[in-house]
Amino acid sequence: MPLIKLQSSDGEVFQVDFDIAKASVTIKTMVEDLGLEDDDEEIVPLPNVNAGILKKVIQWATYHKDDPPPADDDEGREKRTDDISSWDADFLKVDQGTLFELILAANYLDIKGLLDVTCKTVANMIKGKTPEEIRKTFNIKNDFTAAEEDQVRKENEWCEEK
Amino acid sequence: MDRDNVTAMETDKIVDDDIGNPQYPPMTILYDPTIRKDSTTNGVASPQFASEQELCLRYFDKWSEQHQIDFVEHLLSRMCHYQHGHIDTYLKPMLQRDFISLLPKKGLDHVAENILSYLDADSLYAAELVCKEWYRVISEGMLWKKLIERKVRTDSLWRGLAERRGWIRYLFKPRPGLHHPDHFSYRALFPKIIQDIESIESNWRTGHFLLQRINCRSENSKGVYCLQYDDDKIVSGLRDNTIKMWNRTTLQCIKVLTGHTGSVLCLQYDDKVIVSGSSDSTVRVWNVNTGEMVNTLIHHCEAVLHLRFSNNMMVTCSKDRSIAVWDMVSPSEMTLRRVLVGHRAAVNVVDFDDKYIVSASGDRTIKVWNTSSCEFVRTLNGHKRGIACLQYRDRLVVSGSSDNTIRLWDIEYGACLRVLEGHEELVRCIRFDSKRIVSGAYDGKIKVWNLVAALDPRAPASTLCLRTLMEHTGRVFRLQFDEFQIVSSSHDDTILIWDFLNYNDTNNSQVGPPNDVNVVMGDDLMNAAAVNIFGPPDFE
Repeated sequence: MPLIKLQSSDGEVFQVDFDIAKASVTIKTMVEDLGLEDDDEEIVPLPNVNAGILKKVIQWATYHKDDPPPADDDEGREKRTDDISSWDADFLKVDQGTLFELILAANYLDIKGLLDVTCKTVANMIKGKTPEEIRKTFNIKNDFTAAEEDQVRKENEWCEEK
Repeated sequence: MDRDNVTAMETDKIVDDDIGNPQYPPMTILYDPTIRKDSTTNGVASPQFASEQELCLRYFDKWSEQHQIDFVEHLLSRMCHYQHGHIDTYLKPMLQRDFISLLPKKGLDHVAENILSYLDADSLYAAELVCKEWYRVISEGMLWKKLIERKVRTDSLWRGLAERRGWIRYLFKPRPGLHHPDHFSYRALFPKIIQDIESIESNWRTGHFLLQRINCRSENSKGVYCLQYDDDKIVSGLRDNTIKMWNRTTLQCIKVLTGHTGSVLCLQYDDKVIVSGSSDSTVRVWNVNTGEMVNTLIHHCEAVLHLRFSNNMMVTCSKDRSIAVWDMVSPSEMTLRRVLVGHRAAVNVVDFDDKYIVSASGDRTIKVWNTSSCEFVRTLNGHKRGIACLQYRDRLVVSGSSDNTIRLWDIEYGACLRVLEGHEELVRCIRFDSKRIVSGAYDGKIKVWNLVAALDPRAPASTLCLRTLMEHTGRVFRLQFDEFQIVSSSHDDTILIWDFLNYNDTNNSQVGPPNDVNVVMGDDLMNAAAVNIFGPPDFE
């Protein structure tokens, strides 16, 4: 299997099996457009991903290399967040800063599976919490005035009745 | 403010001297309460500390990331628990990220919206109250609209309600020339939908419905043995040998199909054909649009009591004790694949999916057969008299019997999960969905049961029957229901439509064409949502 070289924003170079790297649509397109498949020496620069994050992304893509390609249209399906595999859940037991960087990288590299699972992980951190608990979770300051907060609350009084 | 400044300045002065003494061994300071307090506030002001710190930082900056980590770890190991706690408090917010506010700053609004689109209504509501930016992302991302659309796509109750109340036209892509309203309208609509759903549920529980009655006015032998309905029509099989089709809006008979020479005991239709079985022992196939008879299957030697078809396969059963499995090549070409024998009395009902064929008989047993091989799998024993009706879906079988009970079975284990008692005569027809079982009996009564509770072994038997509906004046022969209605037919020669959707306290005396009711309710719903833009049904 052909190997390609990926260079992180901070200059580190990673040799990766192309079959693994092509989980990233961005890399796949770049390699194919530039005709790099047969060129061992050419390096694919990834100026938006640092070495620490790139390492994690490669780890994820390696584990998931045999996954079926993600469904294009998941509009019709129910949006579940309780279907994260235990490997992914372990893999994503990281601080929020790292999770944030992973989301940015998954988006930039266009890796749908990784973007989905990271977004679900954040959604799970929000689910079932009160507004104050959510603020605590993400270190957010409440910038609503009391009157504004009342207004938003009033528009949704039905939720309180439950 | 002033006061704090003064205090701080005074403290600074006092501690200058203390920190000026470089002899203090660090560990000792940490355990001295007075000095610890002083040293925490003075660090900033001491010129010596400032220059030492600067020197340290200059070294620090020169090191590699790994060396920096090693060094800080080393420093940390020399500090005490109180300091660790302090650093922890300092560090924690540095590791936190306000995903929803930060992603849009990177031009990634769609990713923030994607995260929020995983939330249910309660969590979305909490998210709105977090801060202004979250509120903005939710509004601009039209997340309430998307939540409603997702519900409509995945939940048949929502789908049906959207169509019947008319608000489906505000979802998905707008029709040409039609503009969709803003976010706040959907936000206001959501609780109205929830209320609407709750009132329907409550109508089922309390037995409040709008009743429509079709009188079949059969000439000689009266009675409606079987029926199936959709939003536009009801197709019924009668004792007088005919199949009659009824318009749902006008409740008028729109077509009469003749050909059978005995009562029409069972039927099923799809978008192409009606297949019917009769006491004349034949199965007939009709064009559902034209009403033309396209095929007659002469196989059974006694009355055809029930039939089901799907995916080019049909199963029929008969008073002749046999079951026939057919391949439906086309409406005019149906070939017999296999005959299943084993029952020792008339086979009253069959149902099937890709895994099993299930049959029930006057011999008091239910038999399970393999769909692809047609081999016998097992017998479900338990009913004390003959079985009249049954439905099978997923792994659940629900059957009704002449012993007046209903039984729930696990098809894989053959175990009886629950016996429902309450009917006082033979249970002639039964249907279930994911929430309810509805059964009809020979005393004219229809009962609505809580399926979820019935499957819970801890639920007391007295809580399982939600409602008994008594309007038929003869045996209930057949019924079908969905989230909004029951349609039933009876020996009393009527078809009843029990409408739980359009009942409310003010209109319960009004029996009109359902479509008119729908339009009015739909607009009321939108108006109640206090949205001017939602005015008349079409605002092109």
